[in-house]
Amino acid sequence: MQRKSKKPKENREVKRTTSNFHVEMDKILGGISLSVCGVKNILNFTSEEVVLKLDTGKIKVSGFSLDLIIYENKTVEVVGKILRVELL
Amino acid sequence: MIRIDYLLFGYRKLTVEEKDVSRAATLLLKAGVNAKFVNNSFHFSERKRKEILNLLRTRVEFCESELLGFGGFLHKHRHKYGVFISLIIFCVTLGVCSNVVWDVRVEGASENNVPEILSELKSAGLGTGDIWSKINKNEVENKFLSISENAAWVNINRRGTVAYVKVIDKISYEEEKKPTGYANIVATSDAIIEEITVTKGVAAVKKGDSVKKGDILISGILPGDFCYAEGSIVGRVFEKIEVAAPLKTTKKVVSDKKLYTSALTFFDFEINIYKYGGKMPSEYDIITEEKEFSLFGKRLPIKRTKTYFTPTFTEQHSLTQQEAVLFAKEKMTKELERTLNNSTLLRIKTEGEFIDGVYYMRANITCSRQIGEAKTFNYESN
Repeated sequence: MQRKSKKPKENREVKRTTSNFHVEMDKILGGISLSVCGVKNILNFTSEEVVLKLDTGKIKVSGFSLDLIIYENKTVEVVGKILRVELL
Repeated sequence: MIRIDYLLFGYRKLTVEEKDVSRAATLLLKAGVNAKFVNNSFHFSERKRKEILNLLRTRVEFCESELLGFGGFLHKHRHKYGVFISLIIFCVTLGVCSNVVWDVRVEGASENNVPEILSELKSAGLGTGDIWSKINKNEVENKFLSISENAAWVNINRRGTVAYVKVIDKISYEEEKKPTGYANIVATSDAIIEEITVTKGVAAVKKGDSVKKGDILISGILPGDFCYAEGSIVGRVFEKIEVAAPLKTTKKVVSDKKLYTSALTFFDFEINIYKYGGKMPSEYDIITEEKEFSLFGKRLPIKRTKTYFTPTFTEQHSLTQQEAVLFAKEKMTKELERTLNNSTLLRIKTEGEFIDGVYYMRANITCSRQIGEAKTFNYESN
């Protein structure tokens, strides 16, 4: 009796994409602190403008006397006199 | 703001070309390196130097500073032994100084008692300049309480090099002393009796009587017994007051002050800085100024004492008749205030006249006041 061969299962690969994008603002001494989680790239940094690339787009922070603090877990903090935050 | 561990263990400043700032920031972000960019530069610890340089070396243009902070200072002066010896001396001095009582502050006690409390604390074993490690706070507290006449409770706390002493003052309830022995009440001045109240003893006068100074008003001699006479006697008193204001008088003139001595007191040690070496005038007043130093609101055990002398001399001074009258009036007012203390003024008549260049002002006053005072006597039975 011929053994019925089992049909091999399809190797289905499920790709799950998660974004840990998170923005938090705080008023601090000497201005505003804006923390952005899930930053992929820093596209531009001057004391007047910071442009950050995220999984889902870009974020542009405008103001003056801006400082940039980089943390280990893909978090970037922009500190200074922030006048405008735009999601591009 | 630089992190304290960077300052302590040394750090470097890395300045990136402006065009490469975002690229350098991205590289650090992807590598998971902490950095704070201010304009186009950031600081990093010596520990992470290798990692950061490897990351940026071929990709961005940058300029690295020499080692900064205390670690950098040590590294820079590693061959200068004098620096290390100075540091050791500094640390030893700091250690020794932090073991000394720099100041004793008394809290809770009334200000009048503070100098006395400080001297009592000193004799109990706590004073400026004492060694903290040799002070047993419990022993000092107990000893202080046993010798102090003003403190009911004490607590000594150490904050840094300063001793904070909390004290609660003793409240004394003095019982009114009951007079013992025998006494009469006699008149303190000539008067007419207006009112007499006898608490103990026998009244020797009645209302309306004229009495001379020293007359017995209430007698302490009872029929077959003696007592300490008590009571109140109000009498009408007639007094004459005279003040004089000469037209030519002398006046004390004080000239500008001059520095006599200057000294610096450190703990209990006094260092003389200056002493006046000139001839002192025949008459002078001494003024002492003390200045305490403080740092950030904390009092330091350093005090500067300056003593000045102000030469004084007398000069002839002439008054006009009007000024003499005004001067006599002022003197009379003061004299009346002194005389009429605890008295009620009933009538006053004043007159004045110039006699031989002196203005005399006289006042005849009538007032009522307590005129009795106890005068003790002894009784010896045979």
